[in-house]
Amino acid sequence: MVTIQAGIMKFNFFIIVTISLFSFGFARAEDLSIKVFVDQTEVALNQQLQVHVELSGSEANSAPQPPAPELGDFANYIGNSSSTSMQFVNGKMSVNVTYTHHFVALKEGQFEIPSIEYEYNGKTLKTKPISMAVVKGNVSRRPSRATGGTTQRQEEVDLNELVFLTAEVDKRQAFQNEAIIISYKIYFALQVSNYGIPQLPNLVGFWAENFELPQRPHVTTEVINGRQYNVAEIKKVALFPQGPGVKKLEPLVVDCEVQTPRKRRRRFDSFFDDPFFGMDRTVQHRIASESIEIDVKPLPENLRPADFAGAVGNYSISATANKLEVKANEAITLTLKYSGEGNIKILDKPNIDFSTDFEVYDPKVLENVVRTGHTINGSKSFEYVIVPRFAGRQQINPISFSYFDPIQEKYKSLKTAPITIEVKKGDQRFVNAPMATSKEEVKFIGQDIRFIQLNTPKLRKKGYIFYKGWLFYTGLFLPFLALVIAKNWQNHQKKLSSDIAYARSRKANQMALRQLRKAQVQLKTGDRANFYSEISTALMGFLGNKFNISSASLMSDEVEKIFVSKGISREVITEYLGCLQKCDFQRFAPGEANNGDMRAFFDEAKNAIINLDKQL
Amino acid sequence: MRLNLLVLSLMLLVMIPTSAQESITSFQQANKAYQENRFDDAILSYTKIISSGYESWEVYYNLGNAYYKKDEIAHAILNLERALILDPQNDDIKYNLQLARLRIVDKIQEIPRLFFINWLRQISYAINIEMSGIATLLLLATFIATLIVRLLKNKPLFELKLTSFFLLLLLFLFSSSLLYRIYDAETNIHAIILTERVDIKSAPDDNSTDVFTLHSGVKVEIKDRSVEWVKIRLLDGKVGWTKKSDLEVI
Repeated sequence: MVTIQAGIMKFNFFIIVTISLFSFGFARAEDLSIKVFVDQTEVALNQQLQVHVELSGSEANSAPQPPAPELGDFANYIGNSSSTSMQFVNGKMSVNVTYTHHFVALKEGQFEIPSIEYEYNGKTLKTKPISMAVVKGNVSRRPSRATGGTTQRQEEVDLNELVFLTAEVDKRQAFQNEAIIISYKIYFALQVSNYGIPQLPNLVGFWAENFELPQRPHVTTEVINGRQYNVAEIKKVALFPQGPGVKKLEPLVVDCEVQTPRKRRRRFDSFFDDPFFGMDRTVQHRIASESIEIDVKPLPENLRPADFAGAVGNYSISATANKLEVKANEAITLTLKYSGEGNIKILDKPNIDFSTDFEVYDPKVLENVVRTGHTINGSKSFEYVIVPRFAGRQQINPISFSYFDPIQEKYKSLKTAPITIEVKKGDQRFVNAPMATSKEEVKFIGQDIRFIQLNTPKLRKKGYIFYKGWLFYTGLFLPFLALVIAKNWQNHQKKLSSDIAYARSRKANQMALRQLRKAQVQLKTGDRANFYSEISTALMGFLGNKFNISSASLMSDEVEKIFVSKGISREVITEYLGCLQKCDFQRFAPGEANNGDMRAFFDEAKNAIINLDKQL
Repeated sequence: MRLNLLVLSLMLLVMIPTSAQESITSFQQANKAYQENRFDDAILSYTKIISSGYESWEVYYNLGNAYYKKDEIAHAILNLERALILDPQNDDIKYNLQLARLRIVDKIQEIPRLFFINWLRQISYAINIEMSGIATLLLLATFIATLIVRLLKNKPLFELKLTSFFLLLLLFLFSSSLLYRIYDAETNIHAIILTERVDIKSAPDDNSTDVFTLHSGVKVEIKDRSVEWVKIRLLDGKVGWTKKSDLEVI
């Protein structure tokens, strides 16, 4: 059912026309009806479309707002507005409330505005679904099913051609975190007195940095399709995509007030003839940019430096210290400055490996982002206040920083030069003494050392180690030596007391010597008989003692037998026996004592004993 | 009799009277300088005694104190440690050493030893090494003398008697203490870091990584040496390499 309700509307003039021409879906309750209608069933991609939901009836004013139609993927909801009109027909008041929902078409294809179910006073009202088409390119706003041509429609078409919004991006393919510059420009052939952005597009997945533009946009002119447009850049944004993938930029919607020139129209409705006839009118016009797809590439994995923290762009880095020679406990300001193009704000605090000798305070961060040129650039500096606690040569190691250069598609690493700081001892003596950490140490605070030793020292040779000296070794081994000697002596004593033969043989030499000494005395006195007697006793005694036999029983032939059995050589036997025989002979021989003979014999006998002893 | 003579000569050697009267003079001059707060002169004179080849705990102790007064803590610690080796039970040395250690940067927690090793150390260090050496030799001589007497009296050598048991126990205690001290002195060589700040390396190479940083005055144990480098071990167990020129053996 098509109802023509022209002449009852007070609001937007072109809407009135279209409402009256195309309205689909009508449901009637007892005294409340709801219907959904659109201005046109075909819209161009990224163009606006409006869906009107109208409640009519005497209670329409107080009835709750019906829900907005769901358009799914095809269109993006922007916002709504409402208008109310009253009418008295035959003394009966009827109220129309129209809710207008604004959408931007996002996807090509056929779709349907589903029916809306509306419950009121226990009754469920339903609207009819409307099939719609979203097509590429410009759609003539001229409705295909127009039932009555009007110049007003023509004017509406003009308005969309005369005032529109474009979005220009500098690239459609970018790396993660690479700056994408979007510039929104209004093209207008009619005068636009004012504009406003009702709602900023949702930029999920991007970090946005707005450029600073002059308060009054700079207007240039451009000719498109033979028509001259004024162009004003109203918004410029640098976007830094946060993750890889295909990202869709929502369109920007701008409401502007357009001065439309008066036009001569054919009378359309006698009831509602143009009251503004003959004047320029200001028309609220909503324009939207196209939505843009951007392919965000991930940063390459290979050759990624270990210290890479996500910076993309083109940077330089510098580290400076305000002093290179300080005393301990004097503060130094170390400034680390990043500058360049890119998303400077996301640069993080550098990881500086300060020596533990420094007390380091949290850095002061200074950001300077320049938003006026063609790119977002600027600098970010970190000012560290560091206090060296101890004297010595301190070095601040090179600070490294890596970024990705999206133009060369390469990672780059920067390094600052190392900074050497000469720290001298502090002025105050105890200032650099670390605080005592334990209770035990606390009691020493403020104490002075004990006084020096004044007594005359017992100096000794330096490097003397007593346990390496010969005295120590002597002291160590002497007792053992004594023990060994004692043991041997004791063994000897034992043998002497237990073995008579051993004892006699040990005594033999001594006895013989004693006997020979007696003989020597006789030699001096010249007593020949006693001299030979003593020698004889010495010789016989020595034999007796050595072989443990009684000397009295010895005969010379027996002696010879014993000698032979002991393995004594013949010459010694002969010599020894010769001596014995000579003694026997000389003892009893008469004649004068010859002192020279006796002396010679004494030596002879002594030699015989010695020679025998050697052979035993 | 012979043993007594040995002990006597041993003691004489330990406390050898110096013929260098100059050293005594230097000592007195140094003490005077110290009392007049001329610490540089005092240090010079004390050092002269040591460089002429003599030493005593008093010289090291006074030298350490002079360095302390001059705020050269590392040298103070070095000399006080040397004094402590010569007289391990001296309270003055221990006290001053403790004060000096408070003034250094690195606080190194010693790894606690097993309790019985601690006891052994305390017993071993109760008297100085010469004394325990003399005691060991005397006890050994006495013990062997009793053996000889028994031998000569033709009695059995070993007999369970309280006195000989006691003698053996004493001998064991002193000799093990002495052995421990000798072992300690021969294997654990300590040194003091003298450079104000040293980066300790992971290998004997200038380009190797820094393991940790030390400051002057820290006592380290020397584990290994090469021509230019020494391997050190801190009391808390950390190990690294540093240049020989950065430290001095106690």
